[in-house]
Amino acid sequence: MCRCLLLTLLLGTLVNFSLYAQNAVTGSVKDESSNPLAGVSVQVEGTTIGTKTDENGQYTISVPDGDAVLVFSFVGYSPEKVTVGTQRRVDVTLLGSATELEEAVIVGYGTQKKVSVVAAISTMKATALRQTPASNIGIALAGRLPGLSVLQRSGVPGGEQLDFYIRGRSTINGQQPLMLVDGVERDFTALDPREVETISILKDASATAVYGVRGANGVIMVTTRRGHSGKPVIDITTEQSFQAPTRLPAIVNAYDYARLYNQVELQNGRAPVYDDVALEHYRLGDRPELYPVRDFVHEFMKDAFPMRRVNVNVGGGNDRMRYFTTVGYLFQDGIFKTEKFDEYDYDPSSKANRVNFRSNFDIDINSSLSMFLNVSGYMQKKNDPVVVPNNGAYLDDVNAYSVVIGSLLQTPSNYHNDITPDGEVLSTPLKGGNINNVPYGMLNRSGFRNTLTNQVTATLGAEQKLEFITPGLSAKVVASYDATSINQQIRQRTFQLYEAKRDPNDPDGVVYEPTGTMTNSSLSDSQAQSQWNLMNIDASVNYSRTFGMHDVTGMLLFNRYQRVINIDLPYNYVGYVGRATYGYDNRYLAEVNFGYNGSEQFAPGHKMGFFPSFSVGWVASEEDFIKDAMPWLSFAKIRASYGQVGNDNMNGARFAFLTLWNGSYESQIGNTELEWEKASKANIGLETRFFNDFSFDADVFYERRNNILIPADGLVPTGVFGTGGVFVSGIIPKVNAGEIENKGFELVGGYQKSFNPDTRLDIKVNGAFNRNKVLYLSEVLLPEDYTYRLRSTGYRLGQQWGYKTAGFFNSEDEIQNWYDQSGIGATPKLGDLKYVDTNGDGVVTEQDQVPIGNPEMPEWTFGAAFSFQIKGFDFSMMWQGVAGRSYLLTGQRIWETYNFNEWHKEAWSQERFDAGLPITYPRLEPGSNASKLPSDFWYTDGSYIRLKNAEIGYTLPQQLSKRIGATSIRLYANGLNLFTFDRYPVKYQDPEQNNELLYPVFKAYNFGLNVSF
Amino acid sequence: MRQIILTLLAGLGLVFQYACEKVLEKTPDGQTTIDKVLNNYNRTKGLIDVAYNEIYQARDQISFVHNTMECLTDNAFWAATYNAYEWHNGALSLSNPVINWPWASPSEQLWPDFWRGIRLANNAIKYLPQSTVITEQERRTWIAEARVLRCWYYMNLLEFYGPMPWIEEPFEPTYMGWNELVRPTYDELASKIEQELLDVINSRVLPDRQPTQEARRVDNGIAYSIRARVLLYNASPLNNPENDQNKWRRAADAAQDVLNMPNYSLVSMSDYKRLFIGAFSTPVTEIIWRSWTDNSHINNANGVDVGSYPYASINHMWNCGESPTQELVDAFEMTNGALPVTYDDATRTRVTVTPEAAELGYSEAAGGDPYANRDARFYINIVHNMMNYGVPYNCTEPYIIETFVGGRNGFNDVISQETQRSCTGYYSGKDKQIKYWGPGGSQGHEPTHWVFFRLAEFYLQKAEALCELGDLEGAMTALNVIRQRALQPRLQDVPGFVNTQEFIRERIRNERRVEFCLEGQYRFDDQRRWKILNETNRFVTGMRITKGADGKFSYERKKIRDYQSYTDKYLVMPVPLEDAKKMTGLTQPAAWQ
Repeated sequence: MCRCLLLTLLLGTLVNFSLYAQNAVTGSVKDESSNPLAGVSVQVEGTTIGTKTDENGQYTISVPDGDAVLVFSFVGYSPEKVTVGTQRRVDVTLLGSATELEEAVIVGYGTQKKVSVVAAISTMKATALRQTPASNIGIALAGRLPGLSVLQRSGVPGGEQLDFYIRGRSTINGQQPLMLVDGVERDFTALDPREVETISILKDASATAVYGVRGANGVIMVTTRRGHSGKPVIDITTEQSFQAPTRLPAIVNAYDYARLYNQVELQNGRAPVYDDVALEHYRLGDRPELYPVRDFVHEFMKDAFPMRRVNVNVGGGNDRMRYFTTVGYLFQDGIFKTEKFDEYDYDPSSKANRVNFRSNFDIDINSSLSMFLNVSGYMQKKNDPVVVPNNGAYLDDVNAYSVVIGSLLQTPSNYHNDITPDGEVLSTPLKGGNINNVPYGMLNRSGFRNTLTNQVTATLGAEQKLEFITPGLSAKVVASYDATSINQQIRQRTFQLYEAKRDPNDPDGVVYEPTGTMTNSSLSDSQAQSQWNLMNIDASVNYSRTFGMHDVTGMLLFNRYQRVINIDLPYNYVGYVGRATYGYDNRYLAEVNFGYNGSEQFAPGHKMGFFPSFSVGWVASEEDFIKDAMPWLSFAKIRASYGQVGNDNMNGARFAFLTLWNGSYESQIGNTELEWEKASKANIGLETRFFNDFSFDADVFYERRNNILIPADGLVPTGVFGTGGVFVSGIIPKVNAGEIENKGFELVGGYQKSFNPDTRLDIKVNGAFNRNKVLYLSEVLLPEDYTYRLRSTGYRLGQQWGYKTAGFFNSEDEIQNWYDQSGIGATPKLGDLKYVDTNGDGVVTEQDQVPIGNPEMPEWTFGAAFSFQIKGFDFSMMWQGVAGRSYLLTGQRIWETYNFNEWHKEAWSQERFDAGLPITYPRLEPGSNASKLPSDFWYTDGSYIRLKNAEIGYTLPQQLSKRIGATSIRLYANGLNLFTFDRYPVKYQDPEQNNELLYPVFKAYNFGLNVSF
Repeated sequence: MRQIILTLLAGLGLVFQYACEKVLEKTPDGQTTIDKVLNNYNRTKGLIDVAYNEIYQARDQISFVHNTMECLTDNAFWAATYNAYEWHNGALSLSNPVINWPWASPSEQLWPDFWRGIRLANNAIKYLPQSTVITEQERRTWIAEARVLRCWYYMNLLEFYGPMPWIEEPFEPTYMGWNELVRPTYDELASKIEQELLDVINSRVLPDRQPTQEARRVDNGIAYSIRARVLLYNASPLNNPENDQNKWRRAADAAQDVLNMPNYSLVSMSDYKRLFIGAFSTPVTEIIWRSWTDNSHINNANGVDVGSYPYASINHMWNCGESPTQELVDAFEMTNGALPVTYDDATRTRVTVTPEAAELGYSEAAGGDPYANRDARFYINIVHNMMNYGVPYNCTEPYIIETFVGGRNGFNDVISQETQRSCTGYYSGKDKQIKYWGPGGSQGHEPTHWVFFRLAEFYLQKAEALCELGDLEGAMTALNVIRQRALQPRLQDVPGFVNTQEFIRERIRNERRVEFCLEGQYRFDDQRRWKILNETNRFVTGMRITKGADGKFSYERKKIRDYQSYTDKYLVMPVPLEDAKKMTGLTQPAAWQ
């Protein structure tokens, strides 16, 4: 059969050739990633002349004349038309089209044609991730996939913190989606963007039921690039970026500090601390030894710092074997200015180097047996200052850098914070802070820690067709083993602090005296190690066959997973997965999935759970009546799914079903019916393509999460239970009783148009909304005098609470005539915030708190990507934003507790009030003060929109690139977090961050060169 | 080929299935599960030992901070704004049990502690039969002990919170029947306790009286004592509004059962103080059960500040704590059996001295002495003005108490501060020893143990029950045993004796107040079960003594403060809100509904 076809084709070509015997045109066809495309149809428009590209994407075709137009078409790609003219070689690049319906979509434990997918899955090609210089591909995901929220919390080089949520939150326990790389649970954030092929998120029960007890929070699935047959394609990229913090605090200068300090003293009826002489020295900055005039934020943080990235990858293969191999290198510098400490010759800078590698092989051993091997990994070397010596709690990035940042924020600009002429650490003891927390000393003199992370992941798979049993049957085994080791070398020391004092013998002189309890010590060595291993085996039997109009597939899979973390008892999962799909005429689709799995942390008899899902789809556009009525509608599919998924992420509580004894007391009472959380999810989706270039997809979902593990306090009378007090849960176990609902929708609109082979526009806009509601968390009703007697039930997770304010107290009369606020703090003074008595009892107390704004986790996420290509130029940008989010302004970056910032200049004072000047901040009171309680004054709208990335590139004409033997040379510049618009009253912190002491988040400007051979 | 593959697949499937089941059953090593408790002798024995641990060992450690139960009554006043202050302010509410210990975590005391005791006893009862490492004798003994302890904790609950559902097994975390647990009647729970205790007693597993080295452990005498107290309270007006005579009969019989125990006898008045101080290892014939932890720190939190001793440098105490009220002082008879005064009006600040007291020299006039010729127990319990408090350790000169204004223990008019000087003019002396104090912090005191049951209680129980049953002769016979030990005349011989139930009831109640003052929570319970809280707890008074230029003392009775703690809400404490909400069947006491 096959041979006959080939012969016919050959004959046809010969016939054509003989008939026209005209000009032969040759060329190659590639995709956007320069991978050769095999099987692309090449046709001369208006004729029957046609051919297909070979495995290397090469073709040869005879054209009748110069007016001939070649049409290149391939499923999943926009057709291209090229007028031949005088060309003898026509190379084209086919671009993925909006009607990429034949494309394979990765689903749990398999792939499906996009047209027949009936689950809520969003997929993106990783090419878009390469348009941004983000050091971590998680950062680049923000706004790309509808339903996925990504918030970057910190920017520590090599240790970025990201929060991922799929469709928001539905539980108070672990909310992290399951993350898979090539089907195995792995963290993808350390991957090089150029080793990634696609990233998908699985959202509804139909998509995630196969992950059973771990699928309820959704799944982020990453697939890596594989080779295509053809001659090797070598791709080299090198990038140089400059990073800078998006936002910095605005600490006032020394002169303003002293003035504001005096203002506080005067307001409190005390004598000013800084006399006119001192003020004048601060203003002029002429006696820095005694009257320092500093700007610590800029003195200790760099304005710009580099990041470098190099990637080399090679892909190719032949008919039996394909390979893709890559090596990537990343260097990230840190924000803090550090100095080598010569005495011990070490480098305390914060920076990271990472090398990623990957080799993915596919081998067809014979016509029925194929195997693949993926080997990848990375080595990361990260360097940080120790910051707080001899304290294990600060070997953690967040803890260590929060001390540095906190100290920088609370060191007034008229303090000493550097070195004496003899090179000793000079400090002014911090008010209220730890005397040892001197940024200079902590960054430069505390030693360093070097963290070396090595990860090797390996996956070996084999697939055997079992046609001899029945056609369409195959079996597959995939085994993975990952090993990660983290070695930390810590060399730390303490340092002696010195204080600058007036020389008693010389009125103009300065002496430096030792202070504090620390002394200069030598470097001491210590080490910390940790080891993680993962073993995963999937064994499956697959069936796929078409009987006339009926498409049937089936899959049954066994999974065994073990993760070893240091010396903990290994984390084990076992389970079975099944899937059956049925399609009729590509019009009516139905699918059943199930996961039957469990883990060791549940009670005996409750270890294994069954998680089914059902889904149906109707491809309306295949119906003749639709085709007739709406010819412009090229594709429309309606799908619906319902199912149950589980979540076993108990926030680290393991073996909570065991009753444990300490001596003869129960120290933990086990919940002998401990189970997973159950999520019931319904989803209805619509996918359309119309007028050729437009697309619109929508999904609406509803989820009800029950069985949520919650403290039993609200259920069990803890006093009568007999294990402790009434108000503490003591040793009573958590129970599966919480209930939360979550609903929302996602909308995606697209427009893709190729105006001609050189001009192409691509717009994709998405928006997603979700809102959850706590139905039951065993909350105990507050007494009747509370305005709101429930603080979580009926509200969104993370609902924030505080007082309602009514402006400032502007006169003594107002204080007298206002409600008594003394119950929540000191008696109010002029300029303090007025709180509203919401329960009408005439006094302001804790009972008067009201819900304020939105949770910190946003309800709305948006993304809008534009790309435009013309001739050799390409331009893209991507806007991303969130809304429906509130943030509580608090802490060192905002309050005057330790330092003054620019905002404080607009604080309430009698002079400002009398002069009618704008007042935007309450009376300054560095001590405790009722005005600093959480209130609607401090909650700010946390919405933001940012130009997440923008890129402009230019691909050199082929004539030029050929001179060095390259097939393509592209120069580009792109940027990350370029502009941010938000509604914060003061822009002292990146809006994505949720704590004022986190390592800053960066913007970056990047220049790159990409060469392909 | 096909068969090979199929066989291979089947084999793989089996291996996976096996791996599947095995791998999920592992739990971490090195953790103690119940089997490791039951196969270890010490841990098994620990099951009964820990069941004793919820018994309060110090009467000043129930309520913050070192507030004794007496200062929640009209017997004693505690200055400063701690729990007693809050209590009398009327702060008791569903969400504020007041009697707590805010520095501890959790701060709640009584309610969770008693239930914890019940759980620990239930744990012992449940798990001891499963142990493989103890003898049959040990198993039977310890289970019997646990059953008695469970009754003890239920008795505690009864005294504060009223009857509670009888729970015989430790609650499982999956237990969901909370709303089905309903409050029984007092009689139902009392009967259950009685039945349980008689069951243990009749099984003859426990000794009648524990040998000295085991004196902390419960025995039949203790079981009888719990039963008697529970049945007396069951018959009392609060819990027996219909005055069911049968309940009094049971109470009288139960008291008699204790009196019938051969092992106990009253100590003589000369040894009376030995009831409250002295080593645990030295048994006292009258004591049935007492705390086994030395409680002598009570000298530092309640009592006289010996730091003002003029002859040596002695550390000051922390707080004078429970200061006896004038009302308590008035309850002590003269040696001739007469009560010293009658109140002229409801303010209790104007009094008429009874003629028989006046005969013995009682006078509150200037230069008079209201403290001479009083009941012998007065001098043990009440430290008063110009009393010789004894000689501090390692000293030779006696310490003379000066409670008059300006005296070294002088009167304190400020009631809202911690103080070393009494606001009532009196100090508590019952379980206090001056030898706790000595120069430079030296101490020569003996241990102090809180007495849970002593024989005297059961004579007075019997007297009370018989009086209510109309057996006035029998009542007086029992009462006079206690009076005569205190060297007081028989009731029949006291001035103004009337042979009526009312008179005898009043004097029996007065006897209880005097005999057990400053000792435990007798007055607290009695004010409630007799339903006299709203008459007795509205305010308290003290004696403000001034010393004239001529050296003569003037006496002025002074109201210290009004109390809000007299309402019916204070009769039975409410079930704490957090638990009440989860147990809808556990109705609140009437005043709290």
